Amino acid sequence: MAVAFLSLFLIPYIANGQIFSQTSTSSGGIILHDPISNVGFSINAFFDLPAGTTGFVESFDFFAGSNSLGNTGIQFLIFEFPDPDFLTATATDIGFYTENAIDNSCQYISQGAIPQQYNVGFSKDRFSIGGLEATSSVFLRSDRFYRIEMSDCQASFFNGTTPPELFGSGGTSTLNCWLGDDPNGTLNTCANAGLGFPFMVINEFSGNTGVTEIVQPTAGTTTATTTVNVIVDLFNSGSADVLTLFVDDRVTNQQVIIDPFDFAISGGFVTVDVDIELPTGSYTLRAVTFNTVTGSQFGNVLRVDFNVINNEFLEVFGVDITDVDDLITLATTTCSFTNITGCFQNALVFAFVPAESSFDRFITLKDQLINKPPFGYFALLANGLSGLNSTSSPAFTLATEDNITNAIFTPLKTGLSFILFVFFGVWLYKRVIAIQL
Amino acid sequence: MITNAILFIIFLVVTTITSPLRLLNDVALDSEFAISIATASTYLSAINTFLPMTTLLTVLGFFITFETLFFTYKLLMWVIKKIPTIN
Repeated sequence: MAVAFLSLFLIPYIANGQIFSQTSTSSGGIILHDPISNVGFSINAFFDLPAGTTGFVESFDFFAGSNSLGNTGIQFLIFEFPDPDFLTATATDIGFYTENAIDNSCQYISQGAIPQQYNVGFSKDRFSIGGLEATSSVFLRSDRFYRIEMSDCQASFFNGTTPPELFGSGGTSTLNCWLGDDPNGTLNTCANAGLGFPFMVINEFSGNTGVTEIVQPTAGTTTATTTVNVIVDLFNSGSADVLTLFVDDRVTNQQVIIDPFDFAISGGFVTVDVDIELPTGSYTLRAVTFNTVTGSQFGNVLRVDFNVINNEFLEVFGVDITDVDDLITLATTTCSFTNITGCFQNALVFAFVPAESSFDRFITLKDQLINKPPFGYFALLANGLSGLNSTSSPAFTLATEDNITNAIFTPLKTGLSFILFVFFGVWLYKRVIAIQL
Repeated sequence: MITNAILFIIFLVVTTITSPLRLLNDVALDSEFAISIATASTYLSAINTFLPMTTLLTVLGFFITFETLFFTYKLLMWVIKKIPTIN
């Protein structure tokens, strides 16, 4: 059946004015699925079609994957079902399996938990999944298979020699299917993994190696430690082999040398998470992907500005011990046989670090007493006197000329202020030395 | 835990001592006091053109703060010395 199904795709297909040829090499083109070595790929698709109805496929959900194709993905994936007269097939032998090239466990790719839906609108006997290129986020990883998952579908499919035709009534409806030979069998089990069937790869995915986002540090932030955590998201189609980070001092406009500055990356969607040491200052981080062999840069250079301040407490203790809220988080160290120190730390924090509620009680009590006698008299008096200022609207205006004010009274005022502060300092000194505790 | 317990004990003692005070009514300041302060402020603003009233008020604030803190300290020490067995 798998071989027969394979024959469907040995037909050149013309779509959008392009002719796609086919190859059978492992570097691209048609990949035969080998259940022994798990080389190849499969397709993950949802079909919502009723059994026995006619029409055309309005829409379906599609995912796809590849394996052993280096770092390339798939751009076009085409189903070819040239036989339109497939309305009476009753075969129920449908096998859709998942294989992970790494650990052979079942999994499938999806755009999160929501399948990506493509509106087809083609005639019932031919359709293409050209929409795949419009959804670049559905990247097909080269290191794993993807599962065809069809839940609760009634198969009106091929009997092994006649290709299936997907048909619908123009609206979504349920197509039931199941795995294995038993029409009442269990859906989506991994027991039959290894019996997937191949599909045709038409084009290799060729866009856009480069940095997609600098997740951390975020623009304008201040990191309270000299160890800056840098997180960069990028896509690598295989063109690049390193992510290069540049750091520039925004004050001196000089580049700050960081070691290392090149970080090896694999293919596909990659997140690079590294720590770099920087002294206190204001910096610009630039990130770009490179190919160290050819010296070529790929993608745009993304940049972000951020500041670094040195928090000694954070460096030593891991939290800011002057901040009560932060102090509470001290007791988060893992306590295990490999980290006995963490156990002692957790114990000391539990024993001596007070909870925030302990202080909140006193604040509440203060609020209750502040307006009660005798404290209330002093509090109200202090609040009232705090309203005494010399910047409110004047009760009267003493007439004078501006030049007299600027030439005489302003310097006189400045001089008197100085004298007042000096007298206050002398008084404070004499008062302090006369204190008897 | 230990610190929590100590703080809780202190809280209990302070709450017990101040419980009669919390039963009293709130203190209210005569509105005339606020009016007099505002009026004084307007006169001070008028004089501020020639004399450094802002500096004078700042220095006065430092003086009051220092004396208040020192008085509070003396008061606390007096209360502590009244506790039996403490010299």
